[in-house]
Amino acid sequence: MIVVELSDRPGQLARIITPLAECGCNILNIHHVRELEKEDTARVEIAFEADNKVNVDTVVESLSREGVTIISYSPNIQTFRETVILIGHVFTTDITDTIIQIANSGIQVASVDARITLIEEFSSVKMVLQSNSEEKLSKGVELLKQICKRKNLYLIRSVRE
Amino acid sequence: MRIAVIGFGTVSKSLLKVLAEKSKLILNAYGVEIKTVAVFKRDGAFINNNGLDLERIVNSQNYRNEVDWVNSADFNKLAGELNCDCAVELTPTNVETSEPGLSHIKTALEQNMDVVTANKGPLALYYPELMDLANQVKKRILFEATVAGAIPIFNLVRNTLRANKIISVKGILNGTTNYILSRMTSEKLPFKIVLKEAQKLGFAEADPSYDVDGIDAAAKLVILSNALLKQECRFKDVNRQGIKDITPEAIELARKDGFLIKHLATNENGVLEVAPRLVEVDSSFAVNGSLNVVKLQTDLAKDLTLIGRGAGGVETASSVLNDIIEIAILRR
Repeated sequence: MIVVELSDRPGQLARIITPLAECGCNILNIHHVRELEKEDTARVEIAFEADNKVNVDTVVESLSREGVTIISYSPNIQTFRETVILIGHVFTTDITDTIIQIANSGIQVASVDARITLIEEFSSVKMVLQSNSEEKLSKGVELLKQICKRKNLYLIRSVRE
Repeated sequence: MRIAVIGFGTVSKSLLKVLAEKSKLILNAYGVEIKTVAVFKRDGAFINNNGLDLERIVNSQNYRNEVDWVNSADFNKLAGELNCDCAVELTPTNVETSEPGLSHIKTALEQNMDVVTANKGPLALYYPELMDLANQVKKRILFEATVAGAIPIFNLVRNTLRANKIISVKGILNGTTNYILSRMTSEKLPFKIVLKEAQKLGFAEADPSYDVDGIDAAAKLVILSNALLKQECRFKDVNRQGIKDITPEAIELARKDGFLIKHLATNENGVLEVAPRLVEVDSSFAVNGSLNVVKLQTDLAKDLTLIGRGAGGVETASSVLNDIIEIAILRR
């Protein structure tokens, strides 16, 4: 998704569409936002598909060269996520080590949330694992499964419907 | 059609009651007469060649004094003399040896009887062998009641999804664990307290391991996998994780992100698993109380989800009776 500012007169949209097409992007959606307080400009939000991040950078570069004012852009590469919960002596078995092992396998641990009880009782940790490939994500979950087995933790995975 | 019922527990008694009530209706609707000539208990049997008075048997206060009672009558020994067309095997499930159900089913097939069963043990341990034996003697084994009680999953696939390939099956196949997890979620109570409550209410057995360790659900998953996914597998092939270690804190963490914890049985890509899983709160598995859910993924009809009662005498008897009627119609 890229958000640009254009002056509100004919032919302006072409200034951004052409560079996008030249970079091999597939436009998914264009949203034209006319702001009341800025009568002569319009904000345009363009959602597009790019093969990878290199393409997105090229798009930003070529739009800048065209003199288009870029307000924001987010690469928005497709992500696959799985939420999991670990129950057991999560902290005494070194949760940091668990997270690092997952991260080292190329999986992003996008968030961690915990409920800590007395040290002798079971604690619970929720993690959101994230990756740009479904296959990598499954491998990451598989690795977590092995870690949990070793550390005697109880793993609850999500079910995909 | 002449039937012999083996077992005299809750399902059996419910079946006999329903048979007594509905035999005329069944005769009118399907043109088949179902005559129960023998009902076997552990220590003997009620036997009457002209058909038993089922209401009387079910309500009998002192069964040993009944005119039709035969002390220490054993199905395996008497099967050849009963002249029955169909054996209805309703003894309790045993996932270690699958006896006495296994012997009863084998005997019935060898004595030229079709078989209807609600007993998971024999099929969870010996599905391929039993189906081979049934094919050899050209008899049928119908087992709708073994999985998810009243939910007609096998009939659904057999009769209405004939050309479909079943790709995966997932479900909540045990009402007790679903009840416990639902209560732990709504009341924020620990497992042990909810288990005690379930035992008081009669939802859980005194020895709850069969349910809470996933043994029951695993047996059902094996039957589903053999019958619907055509995957030869056995009870020992299931990765099994129970619900004892689930804490209210874990449930709370799940809730915060819009998930519930449910005890699911799944067969995806040939991997059989019974384990607690996170399901989204608006998912088709977000079914509370003691209800069961079975979800099929098929190639033509795509996804199908069935929700219903997984246990209970009359509910299970509903499935058993439908199988009996089907066999009676096929034998006509």
